[in-house]
Amino acid sequence: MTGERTLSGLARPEALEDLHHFVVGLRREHPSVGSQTLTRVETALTELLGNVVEHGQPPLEVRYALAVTVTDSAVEAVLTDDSRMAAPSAAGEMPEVWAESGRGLPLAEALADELVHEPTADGNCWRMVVGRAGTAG
Amino acid sequence: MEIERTAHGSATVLRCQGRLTMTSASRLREAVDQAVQDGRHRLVADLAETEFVDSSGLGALVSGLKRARQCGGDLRIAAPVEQVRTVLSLTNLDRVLRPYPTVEDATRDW
Repeated sequence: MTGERTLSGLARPEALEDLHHFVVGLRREHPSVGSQTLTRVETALTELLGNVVEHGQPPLEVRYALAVTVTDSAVEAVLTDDSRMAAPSAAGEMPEVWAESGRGLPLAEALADELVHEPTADGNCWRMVVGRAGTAG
Repeated sequence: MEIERTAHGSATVLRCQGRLTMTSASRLREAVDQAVQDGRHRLVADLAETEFVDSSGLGALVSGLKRARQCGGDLRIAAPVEQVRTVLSLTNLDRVLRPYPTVEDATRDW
């Protein structure tokens, strides 16, 4: 079964809870997609959206839109925002273990099979692919 | 996230129930600060009922570990679920926050 599911709103802290419920809906709609795959999707998207919440400009006023498509081989996500501040074009290195911040984008990159950032005329666009590994995916 | 604090011998167990994320990480930092201020430096974060941890939650765990060690103590984690074990591994934090299977295992030599 394939299909697209969308979510949009203001990039505020409560948006992360909306994202969680969104993924709960994905799990319900796509029981054939493995739990581990959707957990990776949720964790990576939490980091990408959290980055918009934390760094988007102007704070609390940035709008985001998320579209997730489930195909036979992967879960594909497109996250756009209208932040006036461009996101980093690359996730960067994982910080050293004693750092208390800076792991979000490197973690998202480590979880995804593909993660690409594209600046847009209005803000940012992240395209992510997480493969449905094996029969359990 | 709800955090329940209990004594377990010389250790203090912080039972974290729910999701440890950007919106709740400050509660763990506050719970660690309070325990340390109370002279409790051997801490176990019981993650058996922690459904999900993001990078902010990881930051709070690192902060707690540093805080406890600065006082001559330690912060150990017990019973993390698979999602938590995965993010600890991908961020290399399992090198300094080695998961113990249970609270009892985490406190055995204290």
